Amino acid sequence: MKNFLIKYLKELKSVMLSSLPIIFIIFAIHIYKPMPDDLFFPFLISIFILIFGQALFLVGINGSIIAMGEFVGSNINKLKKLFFILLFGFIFGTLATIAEPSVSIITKQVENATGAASILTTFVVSSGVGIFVAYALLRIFLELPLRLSFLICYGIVFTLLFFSPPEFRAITLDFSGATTGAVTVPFVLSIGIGVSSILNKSNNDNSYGLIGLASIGPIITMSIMAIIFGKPTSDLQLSHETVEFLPILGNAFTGILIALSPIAGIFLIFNFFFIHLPRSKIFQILLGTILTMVGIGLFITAVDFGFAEAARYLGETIPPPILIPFGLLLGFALGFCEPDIKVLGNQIEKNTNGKIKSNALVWTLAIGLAFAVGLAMLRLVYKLDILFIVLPVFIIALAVTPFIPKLFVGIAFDSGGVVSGTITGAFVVPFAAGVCMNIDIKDNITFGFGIIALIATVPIIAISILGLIYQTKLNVQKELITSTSWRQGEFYPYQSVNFLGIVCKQSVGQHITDMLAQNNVFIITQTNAHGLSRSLLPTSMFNFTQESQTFLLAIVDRTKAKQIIQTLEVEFEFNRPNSGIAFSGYIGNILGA
Amino acid sequence: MENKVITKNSNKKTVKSEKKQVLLVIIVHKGFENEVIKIANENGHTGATIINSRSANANGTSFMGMEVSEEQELLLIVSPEDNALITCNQIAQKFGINTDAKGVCFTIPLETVSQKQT
Repeated sequence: MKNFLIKYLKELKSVMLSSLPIIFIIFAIHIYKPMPDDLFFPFLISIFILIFGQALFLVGINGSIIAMGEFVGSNINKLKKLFFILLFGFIFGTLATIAEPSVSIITKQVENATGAASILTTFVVSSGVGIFVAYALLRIFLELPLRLSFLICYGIVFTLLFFSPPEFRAITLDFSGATTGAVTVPFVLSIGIGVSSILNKSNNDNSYGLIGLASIGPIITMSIMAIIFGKPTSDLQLSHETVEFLPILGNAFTGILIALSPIAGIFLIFNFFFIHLPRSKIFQILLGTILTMVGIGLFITAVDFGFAEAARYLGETIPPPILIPFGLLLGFALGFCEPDIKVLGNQIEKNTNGKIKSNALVWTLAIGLAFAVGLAMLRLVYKLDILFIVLPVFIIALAVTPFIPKLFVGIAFDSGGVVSGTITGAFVVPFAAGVCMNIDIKDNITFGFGIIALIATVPIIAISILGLIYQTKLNVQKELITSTSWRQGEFYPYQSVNFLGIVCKQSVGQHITDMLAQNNVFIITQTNAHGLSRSLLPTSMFNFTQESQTFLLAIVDRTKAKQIIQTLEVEFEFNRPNSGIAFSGYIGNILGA
Repeated sequence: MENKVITKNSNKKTVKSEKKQVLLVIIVHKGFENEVIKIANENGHTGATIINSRSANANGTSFMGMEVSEEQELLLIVSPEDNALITCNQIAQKFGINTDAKGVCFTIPLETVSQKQT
């Protein structure tokens, strides 16, 4: 319990910091033109619920939903036949989308606008997701190239969109973001990681891209439906809903429960037939799930209760001339507030052994989101067709894929589905609705939608640029290293070197690497590890005792090894318990020099 | 009875493999691990543990708080010393430090090993 509290307080602190920008923006507007009291007080209360809920969600998710996804993913081969695996992907994708709360909201709006029954729309959309989850699994197993898959799929998407009625384009594209919600994203993400971890390939490249592919499905099936149904019959009603705390709380929790049920169901079925985890572990995971559920439930409640109406107010009060720069600012602030972005960042940092840092990813996506909201405002102000913005974005994103590392391609397209998560849906959509009223746009069905689509596409370019920069830096560094040190071969005075293993906390890993470099140690490799000590075991109820550690393996001069270990003891306090351990020993042979 | 059988067996095994056991540590860049395993298999190693890792080159550049580094695979193989030496040499030739794989390969002498390798 003590460990849990420590982790929770840490997370609380970082969530508080990351929520500051958006709170600051809303307060600034409040000072400029005060909100009515019945908007302002719910907002004040929501701030606290939002922060507490998000921290709880982020603490709980690793041991629960992500663990479930990884277990399911890494046991998926026990379905034996590829056909069953694909069937599993299809059924899971379909069920998860049906259970997604944001889908039911949009389908109702579609029903109002077009008369197409919401059950039919739901079925069409969710089967689209199902088909593409199945395809994404097929792609991982058969090693079909990710870049080509995206190229072909988006080719189909844009041909279909071109033929579908213009009024429908925005709403169709919006479905791509709406189908991937707060609990489904981490689960699908970790299924991908689990599946590729069991295949005998270099795994990180293949781990991502599942969400990116899954969010193409609904666009394709919906635009086919749009072509069949033709023009919408009536105008869209953007209704003001009543703001009462308890009904919103109830809605949020039932929504989460429904969204969680296919995930937990599939995990339990898998566990019963294939995984056979010990009962204590199952208990741990389910307990973690309840924690996560409470966290995300509170988060959604806070967003719906206080932030959504505040957002609408923002949209209505912002003076139109500064709409576009304000959109940029708002998007940037929201990027730090979206829990799924942090989950994606943490997962990627963990799985690439810290090669890609979570913070870098969050910042990049925040910048992407800034441009997305900015472009959305541009579109509203100049009344552009959504295709004029989305099409160039995709052309750029697809054109740069050959030049960036495979890993980044998957992450980029995944991030589209991740960014369009809880808070963007519940905050930016009412904001855009407010803006529509502000600048007097009547054509709600064309312009009321489309903002989620932009949010789901623009960050793809942001991550691609990150990948591009990374690759160029890597190329430069490669030349540097080969030219300066490794070619001369003088590091290997034969038989006079030791190996040096260091286990330390993740936070000091970087400093130790720097210290080793100062001592002219060049061959270092590093991986992530977890600590587990006996004294911590009894309290491991929530799986929080496994502290993140870094394992460094280096080759050093025999005389220097002792000196380095002494430095570690003095500077990094390795002589104290629970700080780290370093050991060095003889090497039998090296490289057959 | 059972106990005796086990001791007999274990005695036999220790007699069989008096050869010195070593831990063969191979570090190669990502993508080369399967080729390395192939070589290892040809020399009679039955398997290896592969750990995904990355190079921690402190001279490297960094941006947005990330070090720019390449992914590596760390392979651990327990084997008799003479087999390990052959493998080590072959890997040094094919995937050595001057090739694209930037391979490093060394052995660590072991004291006790639970499962005797052939």
